[in-house]
Amino acid sequence: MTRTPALMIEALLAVAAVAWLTATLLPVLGLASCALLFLLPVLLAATRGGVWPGLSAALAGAAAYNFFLLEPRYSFRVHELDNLISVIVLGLVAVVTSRLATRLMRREAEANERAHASEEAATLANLLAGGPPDEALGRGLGFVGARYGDVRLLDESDLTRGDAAFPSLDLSAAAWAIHNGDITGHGTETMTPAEWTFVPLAARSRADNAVAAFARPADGRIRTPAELGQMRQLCLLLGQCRDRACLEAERREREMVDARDRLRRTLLASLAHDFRTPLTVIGGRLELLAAHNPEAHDALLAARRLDRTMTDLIGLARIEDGSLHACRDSLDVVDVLAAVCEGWPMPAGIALHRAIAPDLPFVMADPVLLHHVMTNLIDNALRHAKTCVTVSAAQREGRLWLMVDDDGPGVPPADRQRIFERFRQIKGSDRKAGSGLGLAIVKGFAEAMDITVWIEAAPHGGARFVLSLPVCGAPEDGEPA
Amino acid sequence: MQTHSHVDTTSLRIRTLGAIGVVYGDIGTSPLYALREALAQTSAEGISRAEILGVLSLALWALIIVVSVKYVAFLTRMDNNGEGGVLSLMALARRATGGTWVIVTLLGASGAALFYGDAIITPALSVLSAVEGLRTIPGVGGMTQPVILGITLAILLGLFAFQARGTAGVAALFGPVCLLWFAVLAASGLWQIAQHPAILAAFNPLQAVDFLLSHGAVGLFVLGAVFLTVTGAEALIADMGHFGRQPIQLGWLVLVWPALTLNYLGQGALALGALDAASAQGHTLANADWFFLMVPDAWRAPLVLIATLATIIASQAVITGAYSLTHQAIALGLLPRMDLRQTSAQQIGQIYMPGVNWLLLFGVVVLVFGFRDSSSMAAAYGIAVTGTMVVTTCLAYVIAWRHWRWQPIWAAVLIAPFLALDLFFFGANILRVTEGGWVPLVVAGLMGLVMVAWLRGRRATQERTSALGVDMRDIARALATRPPVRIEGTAVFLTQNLDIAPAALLHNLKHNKALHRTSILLRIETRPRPWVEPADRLVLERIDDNFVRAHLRYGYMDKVDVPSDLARSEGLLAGPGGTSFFVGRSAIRFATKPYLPRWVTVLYTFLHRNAADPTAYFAIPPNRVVELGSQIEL
Repeated sequence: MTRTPALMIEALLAVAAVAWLTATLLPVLGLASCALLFLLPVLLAATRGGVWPGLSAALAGAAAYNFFLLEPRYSFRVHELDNLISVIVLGLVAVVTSRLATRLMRREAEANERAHASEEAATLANLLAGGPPDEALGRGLGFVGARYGDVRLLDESDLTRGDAAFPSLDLSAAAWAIHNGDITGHGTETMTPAEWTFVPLAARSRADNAVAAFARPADGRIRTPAELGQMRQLCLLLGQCRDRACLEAERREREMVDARDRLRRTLLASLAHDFRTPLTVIGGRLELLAAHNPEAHDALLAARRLDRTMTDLIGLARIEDGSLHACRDSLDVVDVLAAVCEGWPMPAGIALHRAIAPDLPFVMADPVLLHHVMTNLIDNALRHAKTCVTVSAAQREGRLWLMVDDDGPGVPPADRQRIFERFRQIKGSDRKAGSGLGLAIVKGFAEAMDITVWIEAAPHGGARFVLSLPVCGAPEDGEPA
Repeated sequence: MQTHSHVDTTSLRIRTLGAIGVVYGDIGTSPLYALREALAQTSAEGISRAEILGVLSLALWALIIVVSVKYVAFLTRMDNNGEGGVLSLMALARRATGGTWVIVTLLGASGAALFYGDAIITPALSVLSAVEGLRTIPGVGGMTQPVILGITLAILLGLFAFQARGTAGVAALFGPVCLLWFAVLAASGLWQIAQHPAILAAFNPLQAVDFLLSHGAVGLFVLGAVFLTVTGAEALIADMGHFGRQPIQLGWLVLVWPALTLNYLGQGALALGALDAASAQGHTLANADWFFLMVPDAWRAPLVLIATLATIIASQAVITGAYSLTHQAIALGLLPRMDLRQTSAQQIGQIYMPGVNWLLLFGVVVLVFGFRDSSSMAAAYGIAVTGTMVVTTCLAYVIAWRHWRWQPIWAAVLIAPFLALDLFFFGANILRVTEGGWVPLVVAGLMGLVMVAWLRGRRATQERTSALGVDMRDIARALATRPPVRIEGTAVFLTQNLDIAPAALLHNLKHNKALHRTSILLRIETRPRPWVEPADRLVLERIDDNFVRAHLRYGYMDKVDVPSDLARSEGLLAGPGGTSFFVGRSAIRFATKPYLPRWVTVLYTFLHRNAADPTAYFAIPPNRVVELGSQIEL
């Protein structure tokens, strides 16, 4: 409507032209056609400028018609009511035409606006679709910012941190938009005095919702509802892109974890293998030396421990790869324990008792793995015991329980599950540091053999590790294998 | 947007032009009928030369004393932080007297009530008198009364229907059109004065005194009609907040006063000329439509047109004034909340109140059909306006005494002449109460009843809730020892009394068995000043970790926006979980032992039930509001 004054002047000029034309040509044209000619400027002004130029053209036309053409000419005197009719008709034409024209223009403007809006949304969608989502999001923000003024993304963490750019009112408006999913701030109905407009990126309230903050227009204009609606649409697109960016980030994170894991496993396997061979040589030599020279006993103990750690590492690598296959043999636990305890270099001051009844049924297990499991359990018990370690066995609930008790500090109930995790050592117990792998191996191997393992409190304090092994089918099958 | 320079900072010239379009429309259209009505009172046996000069002298001096001296020189200095008008003066007087004087509230309420009478008569009278000008156009026959009434009604219906769309779009035209109007007034007056310069004798105040002394009772009737020349003077102070004092004074002294004076003199000159012509033919002079007859036949039609435009603008100013007066009356607690819409996002103060609009239109239509011509309506007009002026003068005395700290006796010495003049005019108008003067009195009486019922009902409700309520500190202490389930988020409870637990809170606790992490007890109060700076609005008091008392204070001209003003306090609404507003909605029942007279309760119940939703008034988004009902016995 800013062009209205110019259009009014144009309309008045057109009226003047028609008035001059009709005034000079009145004898030729006749009064009726002259009156019709005054409709032209009205039509012109009403179609182009709407009501006000149209009406001013109608009024000016009526006045000019009255002044120049109607008898008595060159006066405003109105003689008969009939002459008013021309005035009324001109006015009506102006109103009706201008209403039609403005309606048409408004429709057209609306259609243009809608086309523009959807074009904008399509461009943004295109921008967001290409390339990695976080870059696309940055480009999309740039696109929206170029059109609707300075824009930033805010989420819950920005709220709690606070931001110097946002005074309290704006932060609250942002919180309102995030928590309630409404559009708030400048130009909206909620917290209008805020300096920014906050448009949520998701339509409904969501825990991880974020808002786009738009600075108020620099020219002091107030955003219209149509503009806000369009911003809302664009922000929903941005929101979808942000969701994709989040998913992408999650996927990348997972991939990185996987790669790190793979590297660790490879390292573990190669370490275990390359250490093993020299260690076997060292162990053999030390054993020979220790037979004659008691001073080599310590070195032998250390070599054995290193050897066990290596075995553990290899076992762990096998569990990790999934290359662990347990065979099922009938075993006599008495034999197994005898093999484990035999040749064990006992640390000073600790006794190892065995309390195994000779008539226990055979169990189903892999001899190598079970040997390894028992070695680790006894090793663990010896490291934590004060004076003695007891290995016992009993038949319970159709399974055979193997129990390793120590009289050490015991394991608090809260840690009993976690102690089987890799590299896990409970606090305050690192007095006799192990590798942190032994119990993880126990757990992994036991599970591979369908053996359950858990920890209880030992009857005389300390910890009790229990292995529950499956027993061989029927008693008559209990022949030595 | 909400900048806090409440007066436009545009140049003085622009503001003066704006003021001319809004403030002076009403007084500027008085020439259409004022002199005609005054002369009509003496025209029983023809009008004499002395009568013309006397009446004209009265009119000129009424303009000088009432408008130039009392309003422009004196009352424009009496403002409440820049705001004028009868309710602003009431608020200022309330503040000055500590809010304890019932008489101040009564004066303000009667002034506001009388204004509504004014607001329905001004559009009806001024538009009708302009349209009646059609009769004076030679060659346009068939202007019977029904036709004139029809055209008038069409214009008024259009005007009132247009209100919903807001006037921001066309307001820029008001100033220029009124400027043109005053130029026409002055030019037509000058032209007539040039033909009969003898009329300048009317400047002599002795003419007026002689006339009053020689005419007795008729003189009083004439005085009542002469008063029509100053109707609309009240707008000078009512709109002061929009434009500032200077443009209003400047507009009056430089443009409006000279134009009006010239025009009245011109009408008198025309009457003198007509008197000469009549006596030359041996007739007596009959009264006529002097205003329209001032211009030659050929120019009548354009004159009627521009007169109609000017009266439409004047009516628009009065209608806008009625909205803003109602808005202030609601904020000051005189009227129940009504639906209020902002018609322009760019300009604050552009409001539309559908209820007020349609009630005014109803009144206007009844008036137009009841009186049927502008002369009979003029009788009704004076009472409303003089009544408001009496009220304004009384409030001015209270303010001069208590706010300016004048000695009561000196204040009385200054104000007494004005009051005497007002009472004199009021008395002169009261004489015409049977001719139609009762209409504004009835309207004012009805509005007065509504205000009294609302004031008393609200006070009674508050007393009852306080008497029945539970102390908030007790509740907070009890809840601290046995904490209920706490849910994330903030709950805001709207209440009148911060010391007692709001019914909505107790209901919520009773039925939902849970409370929000933070509960804010919010009291919203309107202070007797027009504006309160946003930074000074909120006072917070923490009861314990979960309960906060918040007290929001607004000026009566401020736009209430509760979420924004709460949000200005650091972190109050920014916590996790969102914010919900709990509003108690009380239904009113008759008590077995009535607390109030029955008619007050009945009227109050009606008003209370039909009051607009408070949440819209407080700018709280409807999707964040929980309403909980309760009952109050009165």
